[in-house]
Amino acid sequence: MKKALCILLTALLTLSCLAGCGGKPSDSKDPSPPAQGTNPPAASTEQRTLHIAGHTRMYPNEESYWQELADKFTKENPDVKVEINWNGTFEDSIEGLQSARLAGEEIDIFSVGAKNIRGGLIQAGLCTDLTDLIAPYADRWVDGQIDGCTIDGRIWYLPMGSIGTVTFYYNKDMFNELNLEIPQTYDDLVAVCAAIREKKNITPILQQGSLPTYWPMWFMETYAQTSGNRSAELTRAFLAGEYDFNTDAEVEAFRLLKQFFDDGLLDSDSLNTDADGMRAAFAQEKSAMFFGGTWEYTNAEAAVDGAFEMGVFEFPLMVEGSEVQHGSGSGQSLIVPSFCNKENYDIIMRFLEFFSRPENCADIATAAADLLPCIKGIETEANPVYEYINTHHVNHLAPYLDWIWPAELTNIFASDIPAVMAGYMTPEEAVEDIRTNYNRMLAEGYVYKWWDEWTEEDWANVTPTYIPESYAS
Amino acid sequence: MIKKLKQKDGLFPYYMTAPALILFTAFIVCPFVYGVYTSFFKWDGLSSMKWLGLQNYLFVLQDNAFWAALKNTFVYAIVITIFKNGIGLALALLLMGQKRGKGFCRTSLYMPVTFSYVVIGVLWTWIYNPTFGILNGLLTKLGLSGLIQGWLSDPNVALYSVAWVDIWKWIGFHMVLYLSAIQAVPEELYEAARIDGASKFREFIHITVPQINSTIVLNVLLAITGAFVNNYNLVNVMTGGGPFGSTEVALTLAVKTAFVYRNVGKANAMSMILFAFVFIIGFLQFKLMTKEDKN
Repeated sequence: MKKALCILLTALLTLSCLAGCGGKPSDSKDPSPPAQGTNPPAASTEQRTLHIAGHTRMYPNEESYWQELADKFTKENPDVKVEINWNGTFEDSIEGLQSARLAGEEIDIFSVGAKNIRGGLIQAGLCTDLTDLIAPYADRWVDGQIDGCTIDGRIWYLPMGSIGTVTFYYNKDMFNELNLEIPQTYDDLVAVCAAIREKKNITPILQQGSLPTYWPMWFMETYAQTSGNRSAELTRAFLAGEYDFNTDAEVEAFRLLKQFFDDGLLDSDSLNTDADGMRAAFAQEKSAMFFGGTWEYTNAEAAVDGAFEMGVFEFPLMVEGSEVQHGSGSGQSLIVPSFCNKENYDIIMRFLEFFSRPENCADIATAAADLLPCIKGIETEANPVYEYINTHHVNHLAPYLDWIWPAELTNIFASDIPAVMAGYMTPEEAVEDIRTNYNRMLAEGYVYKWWDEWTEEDWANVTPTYIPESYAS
Repeated sequence: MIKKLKQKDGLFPYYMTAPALILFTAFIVCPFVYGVYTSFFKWDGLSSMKWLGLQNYLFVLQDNAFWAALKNTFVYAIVITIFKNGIGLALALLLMGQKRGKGFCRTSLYMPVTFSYVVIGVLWTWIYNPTFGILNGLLTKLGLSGLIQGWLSDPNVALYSVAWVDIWKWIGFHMVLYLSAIQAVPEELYEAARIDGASKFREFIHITVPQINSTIVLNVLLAITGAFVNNYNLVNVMTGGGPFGSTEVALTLAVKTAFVYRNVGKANAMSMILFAFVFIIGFLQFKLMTKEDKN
């Protein structure tokens, strides 16, 4: 008896420790969706719950803006209660969503970065095809933004923040003191850097080069110019096996980047500098410029703390006959998980419609910066830096190439670009390395046009079972 | 009741170890077996798995990035095993003869062991920083500007810079183990050697080393296995595998392959190959270093 009791207690103790780790896959817990083409479920008098989730918010007040939006929505829709759950980091969003699915957690709308969506969630069948659902309101987004969320003619996610791009930030006071003009061409930039080095004895440009993800942004600039502003088109063709990534355009794009090191605009210090180090050097006037994302303005401005005025200018023109063009896209996005409560399509879409009204999403869309909001009709703050970007950069945008490249290839670019710049690899070797790795990935089963390989079952999993009419009217 | 159980029931030890065994099975054995299983599939960790057989292993063995990472892992392991043990033993010998400030020295040297990899990784990244770092600042102040390096930016130096941080963290731990082993060597052996006219060096080679051999085996085993399987955090925090993959080790590559490239099957195949290497090396090292003891 005692022996049995002892075994039972031990087993119970252990199982109780493990209890929190278990969970049913959502497939088994999903409420049965209505068959495709049927009407939505009959309206209930009970208050329904809309579940919104995502990674922990990253910008000041963003969490409270969401709560205000949820409260406002419930006020307009008393039959819907909104529950919000922010959890985990931006980088771990994919794992966060997968964990929620395996644990049977109900999520109707998920906030996640576009790179994660394109880099795994769509191919894994975790995003609902929003094409028909969002059609009545797609024109509320700034032109081209919904196109950016489209793969093979289907809309998979919705941008919710500002449109990010890249820019040179500079110390305006230092430029004024040295009588320097904003450089338009590469030669101008070389002259500016030489003057700064000579008169201030500081590193003209210090880059956050220890973060590999920042190097592809440099390549996007030069490749846009060497490819005759066809960088995204050629990249897609290359990945589809319709273009050989080995022409003068590619080699030249690398060679132009190498000039930055050869001409002393950048040095190896940048390879060992992270975001904090870069901002600290800039704020303490140990460097005069850095090249970064528009999303970095808020943090850089905080680091400078009014010590001098900051300005921005576009990446210089390096190829005659081309135009400058900067990688861009709206990073913060919303998806409707394919494992959402399908009976909630009507309230999900009601919420997304509510969200897409400029008066409702303005605070959230500009939480990172008052720059290029993705939804029409949002007023931006009068700030010289924002104004400059909103009037200059906005005319020269191209899609981020690292949202098109598979993650593994992005990593190879991120490694080869600084290697070429610092002279550890020739441009030709870098191009060959990228081709070799792409061919290896193909041999390992990489498919760019994954949508061509999907089965009917795969499509059924992500296709809405009905289009709720109530929200569209 | 426990006393009665002890007396009556031969299964008592099993009851007591059962919780730990169940947890070990649940969190170590089962994930390991599942890792082996998934290494035979193409799997992104999100959607359904597709059977590949041994192809993932073939892909790994044909991947230059894996061999480069494995080479870095071996270099890292060899460097830190030699230096952790060499410096740890040297410090233990030095402290044996110390008369004043024993506690302070031992505590100071042991303190980094208690720090997390993330903390020391960030700390040393700043020490190595080319613009603000105190290392280059100190070298300049000492008139040794010629020694200034791109500690984490030069691909020829970066791996050793990271390895040094690992060595610095664990020196105190190895020193303490050596210290306790040396203190346990009977004094009579040294007295007899001195009567025979043995030098300090010969005492060390012929008395200390054989007497502390089991501790050396343990220390080398801990250092070498630790170097293979414990380098992820430090490399990830300090360099992320860069510059240009020069500090990429097998573990950082496996994690990237699983969670960035979303190729869990291939990542698990990498892990299994790494496990096989560590197992064989640990086994051979253990056999070789304990051969003399058995004889």
